[in-house]
Amino acid sequence: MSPRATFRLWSATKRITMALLVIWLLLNVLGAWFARDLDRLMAIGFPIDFWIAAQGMLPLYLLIIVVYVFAMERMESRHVDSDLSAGDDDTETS
Amino acid sequence: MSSARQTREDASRIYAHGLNRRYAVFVAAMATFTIGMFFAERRGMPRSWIGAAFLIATVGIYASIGFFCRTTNADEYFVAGRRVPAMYNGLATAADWMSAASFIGTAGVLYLQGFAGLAYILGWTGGYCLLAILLVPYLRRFGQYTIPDYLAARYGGHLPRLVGAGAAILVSFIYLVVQIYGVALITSHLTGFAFELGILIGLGGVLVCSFLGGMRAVTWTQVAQYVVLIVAYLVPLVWLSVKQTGQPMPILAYDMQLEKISERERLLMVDSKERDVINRFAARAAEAERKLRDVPAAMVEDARHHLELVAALRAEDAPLIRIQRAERELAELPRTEAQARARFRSERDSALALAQPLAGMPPQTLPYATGDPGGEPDARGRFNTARINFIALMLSLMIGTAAMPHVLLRYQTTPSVAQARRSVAWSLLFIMLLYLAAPTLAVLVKYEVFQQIVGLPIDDLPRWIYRWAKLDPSLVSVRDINNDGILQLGELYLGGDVIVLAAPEIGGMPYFATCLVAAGGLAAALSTADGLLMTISNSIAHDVYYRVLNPKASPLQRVLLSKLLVMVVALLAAAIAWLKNTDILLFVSAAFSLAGAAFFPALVLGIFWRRANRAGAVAGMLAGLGITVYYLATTMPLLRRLLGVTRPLADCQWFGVDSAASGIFGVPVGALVLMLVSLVTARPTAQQQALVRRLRVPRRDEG
Repeated sequence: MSPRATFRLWSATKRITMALLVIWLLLNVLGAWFARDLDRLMAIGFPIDFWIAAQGMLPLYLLIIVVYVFAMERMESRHVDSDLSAGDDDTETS
Repeated sequence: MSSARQTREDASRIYAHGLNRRYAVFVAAMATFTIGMFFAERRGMPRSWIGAAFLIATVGIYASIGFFCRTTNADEYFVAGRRVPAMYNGLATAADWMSAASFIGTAGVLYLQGFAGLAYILGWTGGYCLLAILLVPYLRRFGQYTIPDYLAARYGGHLPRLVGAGAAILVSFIYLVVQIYGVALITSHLTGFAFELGILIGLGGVLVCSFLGGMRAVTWTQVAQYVVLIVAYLVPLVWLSVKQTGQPMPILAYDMQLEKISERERLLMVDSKERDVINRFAARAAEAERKLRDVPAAMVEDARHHLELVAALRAEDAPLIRIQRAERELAELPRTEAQARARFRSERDSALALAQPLAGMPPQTLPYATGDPGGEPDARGRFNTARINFIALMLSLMIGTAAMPHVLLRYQTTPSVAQARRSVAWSLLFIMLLYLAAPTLAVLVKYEVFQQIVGLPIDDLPRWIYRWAKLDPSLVSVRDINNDGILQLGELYLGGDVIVLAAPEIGGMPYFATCLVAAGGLAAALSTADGLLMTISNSIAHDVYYRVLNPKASPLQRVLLSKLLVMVVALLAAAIAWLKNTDILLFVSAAFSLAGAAFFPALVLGIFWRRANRAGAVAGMLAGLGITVYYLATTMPLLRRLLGVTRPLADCQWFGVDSAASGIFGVPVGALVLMLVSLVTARPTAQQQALVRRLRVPRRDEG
């Protein structure tokens, strides 16, 4: 892979890694921090916070991973393809 | 080139096809066997035979898979030939991942602690995001066999490898002891054998797989074990759900039951008989406290009281059995002051624990129930401590999840990086099935206890209570403390470990279901033990012996040494489990804290920060481990006792965080030390920097 394609792919990888990590962290910490307040806010006579933590979060985790898997697969195939068709030899970019 | 890839893909499709067929046969056989047992029981097959049949059939299957996959080829032995398709690796990882603690422990902790127990559920699933995004693709692209291999290549020299191998051995060994303890607990419950015999049987089950066929055998038995454990977990759950609500989807039934439980909790909180029980326990605690203030006097007083009792019983010519019981109690009185002090203290603590509303269980759904954010400063403080502990434990388990060497090793068995990435998603999907079920099971069991068992006459309690109380009084006990002949919630003690194992009996299912659940727990513990044993023996045979001590060792020698080590390590772990000094969840969370602190910073920064170097990595790993070990030593009750730490617990804790979450300090300290030391020492070599570049993006032929 040419240095430019490498650089582009790695920057894109870093971006999506960062974005998903931030989402993951916010979900976890804010969700747990405001668990008790959530209960009062929703006030629908149903333990929403317990339900969110027990059942709601796990599919979100899976979603984060699935998004990452597909994004990476698409990015990699696109970069490898564009790299092959361009066939240029860029100068060093790091 | 592309035709080579084509052939490879064709070959792996045919391979996957063969796998599908074999496991379809296995699932059918298991279903037939279980249904067969159901009818055999109705025809009057004795219980002990059913238990033995389940034990022999499941362990026999694992052993024969292990036998057919036996190998001495190094690539097969260490990484299963790197041909495991993503979905199958997901299944194997799920079984590897879900240990005795997940299977037995999580529903129990959710039953006992309510919302607080969810930290385990979230921690053990959310960590897979870190694993998928930060580690798996890069480590798979690196290839090779173990985590210390990566540390050595990335940071250079023997030191990072040895520190890594040492940490991997420490973490996996602690975790292994817990699995063997779990195996023994389940086997003795299933067969009625002694706990020690259970250890030996479990040991045999573990050894046949890892000993004969290494990672290859372990992988294919783990897939079978996943099927057993998930079926075993879901069958009683669906049964309870149908029984209580007529709804075959537990997840729907559980919404209704959750509300009913909350309502029942409110009633029980104000129930006058429950209050009476609480007051009596409080009085007992106060009595023990009084004795503690003057131990020698209390000992004299106890002895006199028992002597008088024996004399009085003899004088009135009471039944022999009562006299004998009184005499035995007299003989069992503590002899030394230290013994007496310990006994009074444990009497006080257990009475205090029971002198709480709802037998010490917080309301099921209320987060951080020990405190109140709008209450007195004291209650506000408790609320904040509970909240901090929840978040700390959750994050510590998540980071530990991403850094567990035996799980990272599993992703080396996939054919490619893309397959490894997909495989993480499959793993989480299969793991989720059990973790989504755990809170549901806890709630349905609680409903059953509240609705069916509390309020029964003491003499009419279901049989399972007596059976478990006889097996281990520290797991189940009943005390009619107010002598009204009726069971109050406060008079029933259920340990967390029985909630899952006894769920079929609690729900009134036939005996075969109890055996099925026990077989599932056994599968969970055995599969994890296998993965851990492989990690430990690989670390010694591959990383220490081959890479450092004797680089000329042939692949066959390494495999043979690894097999020998599997045996030795398993025996050693069994010897420690024999001591029975094991609290499953405490040990497990310690192992996760240590794994996170030792590996996470060095692994992740090695990929994402090119400047990280050898000095930094070694210092960071040691600092992270050091802080975590120090925190565990000063705050974990068992270690405090062993080491004789006398400083009050509250002074040893930082921000009131429990020992279970000690990784929350170890990980940042490790990362910080790694960065600081790296910055003040030389840059990594050109070769190491080239490795980082290679890890970050795919090569053209990666496929």
